[in-house]
Amino acid sequence: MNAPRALRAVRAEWTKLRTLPSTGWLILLTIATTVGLGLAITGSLDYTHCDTPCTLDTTKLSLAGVRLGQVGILVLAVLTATAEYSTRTIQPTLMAVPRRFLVVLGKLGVLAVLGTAAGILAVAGSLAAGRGVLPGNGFTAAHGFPAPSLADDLTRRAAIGTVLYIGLITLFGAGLGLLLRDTAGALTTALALLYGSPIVATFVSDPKWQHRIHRFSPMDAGLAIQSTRNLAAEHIGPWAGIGVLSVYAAAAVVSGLVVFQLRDAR
Amino acid sequence: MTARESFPRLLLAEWTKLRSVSRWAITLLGAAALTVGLSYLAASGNKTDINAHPNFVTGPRGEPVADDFYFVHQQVTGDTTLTVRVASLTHEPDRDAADMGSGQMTKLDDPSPFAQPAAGIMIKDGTRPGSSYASVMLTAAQGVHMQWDFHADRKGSTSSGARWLRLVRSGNTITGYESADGVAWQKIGTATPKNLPSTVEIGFYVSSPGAVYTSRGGGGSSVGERPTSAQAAFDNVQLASGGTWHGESIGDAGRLSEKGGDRGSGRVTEANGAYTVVGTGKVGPQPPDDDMVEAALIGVIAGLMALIAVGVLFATSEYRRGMIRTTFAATPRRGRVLAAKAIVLGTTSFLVGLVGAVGSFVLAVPILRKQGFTAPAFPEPSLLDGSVLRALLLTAAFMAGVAVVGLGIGVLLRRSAAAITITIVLVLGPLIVGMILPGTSPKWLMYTTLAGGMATQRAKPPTITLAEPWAMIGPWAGIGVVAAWVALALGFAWWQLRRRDA
Amino acid sequence: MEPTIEVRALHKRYRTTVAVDGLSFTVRAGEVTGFVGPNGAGKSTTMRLILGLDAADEGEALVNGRPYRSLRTPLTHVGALLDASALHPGRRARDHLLWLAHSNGIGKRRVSEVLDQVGLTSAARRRAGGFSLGMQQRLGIAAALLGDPPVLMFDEPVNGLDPDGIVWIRGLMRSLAAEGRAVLVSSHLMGELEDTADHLIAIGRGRLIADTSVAKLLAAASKDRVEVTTAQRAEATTALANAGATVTVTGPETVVVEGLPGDRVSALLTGAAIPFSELRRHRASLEEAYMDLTRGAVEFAPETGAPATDGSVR
Repeated sequence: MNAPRALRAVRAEWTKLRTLPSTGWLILLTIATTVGLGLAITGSLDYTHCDTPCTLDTTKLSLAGVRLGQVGILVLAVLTATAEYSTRTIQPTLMAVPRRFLVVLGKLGVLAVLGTAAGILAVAGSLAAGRGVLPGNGFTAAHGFPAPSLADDLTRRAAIGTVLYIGLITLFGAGLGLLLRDTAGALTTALALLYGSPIVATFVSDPKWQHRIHRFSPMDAGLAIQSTRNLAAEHIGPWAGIGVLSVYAAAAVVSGLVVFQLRDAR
Repeated sequence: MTARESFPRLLLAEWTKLRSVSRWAITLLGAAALTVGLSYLAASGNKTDINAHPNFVTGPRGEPVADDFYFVHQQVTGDTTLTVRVASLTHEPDRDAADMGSGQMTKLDDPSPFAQPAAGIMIKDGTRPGSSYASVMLTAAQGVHMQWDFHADRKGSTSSGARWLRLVRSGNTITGYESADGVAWQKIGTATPKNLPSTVEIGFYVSSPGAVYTSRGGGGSSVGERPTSAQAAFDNVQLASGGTWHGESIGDAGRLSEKGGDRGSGRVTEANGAYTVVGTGKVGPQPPDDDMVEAALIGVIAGLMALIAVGVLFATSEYRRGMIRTTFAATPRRGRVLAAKAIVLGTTSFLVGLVGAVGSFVLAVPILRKQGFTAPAFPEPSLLDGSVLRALLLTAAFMAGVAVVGLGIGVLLRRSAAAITITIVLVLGPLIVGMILPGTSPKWLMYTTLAGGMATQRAKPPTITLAEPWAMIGPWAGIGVVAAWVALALGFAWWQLRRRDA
Repeated sequence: MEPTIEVRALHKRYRTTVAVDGLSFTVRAGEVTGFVGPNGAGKSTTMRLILGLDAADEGEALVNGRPYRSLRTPLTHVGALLDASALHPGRRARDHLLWLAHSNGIGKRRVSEVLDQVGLTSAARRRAGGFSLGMQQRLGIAAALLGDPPVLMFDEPVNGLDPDGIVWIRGLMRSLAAEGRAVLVSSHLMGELEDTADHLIAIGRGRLIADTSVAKLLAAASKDRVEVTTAQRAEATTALANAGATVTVTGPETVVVEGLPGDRVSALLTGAAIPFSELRRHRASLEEAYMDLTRGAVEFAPETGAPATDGSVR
């Protein structure tokens, strides 16, 4: 693979993304929703209603806003792939960069960077919001809840893990978009997989099956890394969970790439 | 063509549009298939052993009930009358929830009259837990009630102080009375317990249901129950026949409890014809949390996604290549176009949802029965049961409603990506958030968002200990919320259609 | 190497339809080559195959001697306008050209140049969603010119242009060819290519029908045809038809006669006392020539000598 060609493909994809106003809005939405929901959740916590000893995982709850915030970046990722088909700009794209692998590389590369950047801002904002709100609700160092700090191993892992999660979701969405080539289909599938599986798990009474569903659900498994307390209660280990999500993302990307390479550019 | 004639033709035109796009037709069929398929799969993974380790006994009608209390009684044959004055009733103060797991604990208040600490008089078919009975009681916070056979309840006066209570048996009819002074009596009601034999146990009793605590946090939730007890003072006990009173705890011995906790013992002490009784336990219905019909409808979530996609596309495809101009040229009255689309989509989605729901029910219920969902905890649901029919029809209506909301949002936003995302998030987002929010805060989410529609899937009323947020509201409330959203979405869409260019 | 497009034994089928069936031709530099055929003949498919958008089942298509996908900066080799509306409606026109430029290492300055060349400078900052059909065409042409390529392909470029625009684009294509580039223009209307195309490649149902210079085609279609202007059209038609000629009415007072030499026509009409005001050799329009072609009326061989028609003989 020719380095200049790859760089040019990346540069073109970056230009495409940065010249669409929806890109900025979707990234802003991701960050704002993540921070906002995290704020709402931590704001609703109250130390006095907690049992003794209080074992709430305030870090995980501060970062829980990503459950809703991921939608923004997911839509961006899916659209980056599928809009080329709905607007037929796949034609000039492939005329400009006929090596299809480079097109995918460009899209995924730029999306991964954008996703990671959005993730870092969202995580930083969420943790800062938590730091601001939690002491007011009684979660102080005296009560056993020191302010979340990145110097702490577990907190750092939760933060990095959440950024990773957002990056993987971005790849997952882009892969699905390449595979299905249809906005409605790719979005519905992605959202159904992400949100549907935890909900199905609550319906099922058998704890063994609940455990299984949670372990292999992309969102639940991927966010297991946010836990800083009660780690044994999680259905899957932190990095194993990220691994599960990576498998989903990889499967989507690989199958999307294969389909893109082989099919006609319709 | 008069206005009245053209609307049916408009409906036909929109129906033709809907059915002629093969992708949509396939997705509609797929919605039903997904619903049934996922319901079937989920049922296979759904097990319960509640009948093997029950936290209930079987009542006279074969239903799960709780029958724990402290009974001071004696045997009596034939017609009889028992009069008693309840001098006082005190309930022990709530205890803090401790050692119940992580997260915040919130005490749940059960509004049911069967969940009140009570002191009263009872006539019962022996002392076997679950046997038929009728009782008149003074409750801690809901005044005087008359209850029988674990399901029937009549409200008396709302007094909370000392009260006279009387039970009169005449053949198979039990009549309950109350009085403030023991002289002037007011009738509360007439009970017809199932087959009360001529020889029964009659006496006075105290019951005190356990306090339920729930915790929710970090994606999981748990419930726990702490036993409570109540103390009552009885005097002026008059029974037609003489005999010795015998006090015992009903329901204690040999019963396993899922909810744990030490039952504590009741007791009775006597001093000069006045009795002080301490009792614990609940006398009333004890339905399991799970609902079999709801468990058979797990696939609705999947079908819902597909219907949202079709609903949105039915609107946004008109904007793709400017087809909307053709549509509005043919029918300048845009409100009617929107109405026609909504009717066609809603009806089709309703039918698809109904097929999915009924199919799920038919396929999943036998599987569930094999996995432990049987009587007495779970009576077999039949398609002819009123509540089952209601659940299936309302579920189909829920799915249709969400599809139409998707249509409205699609008209508003004109971009399929945004509309699909927003609609799906409106339905699923609150559920996910509700699973994290502590305590009972998810309830307001269910009352205000489309997620509340999930409540339509239950055939039984929600129990107090349910973990799922959407089960916190009733099915009619759920469909009401969905209907409100449909009106809002279509209303906004219509307003926008009139204002802007095609 | 001289810029060219070479297509050899190209074959493509979509499900059950054969879109391109054993097509072979060459587009040369320095001339405008018209690519004609009825709707559905396979013109757009052929262009897509040349550009590597779809994969051919058999055969090959080479641009400047190489397959498209192997070109490092393809936009500097070939500029193509296939579907002018293949634009993201939310993106500004200038930014559309910008990402194309970035993808092939073309400088920013070139974007302004081509916008100027097509007359879209004032609309450069507008979003493509608000562009009219004609503006979209111009933007597509600008994109094709972006890399200053020696080979150009236009699929129905006059679609949506007003008369001014049509004149302009004809001039553009001729000047591009005059600069030594190879220009391929497809159309399903012969009239468009009149006076613009030097060479013609005609296809029908995926197969090559003709591969010839326009001059030769017109000459062949015109020979043995005589155009008569007469006030007594009906009588003239009868008289000439009775003599065995094929007579086509082309106007209220004009007919085209085929099958009789000009002097014989003149003698016949004079003999029948039918007055006529004009008698001249008919100069066929490209449209007529094409109609003849596709009717099999003119069996035409490409310059290499191999048979080109689908076998019908007159």
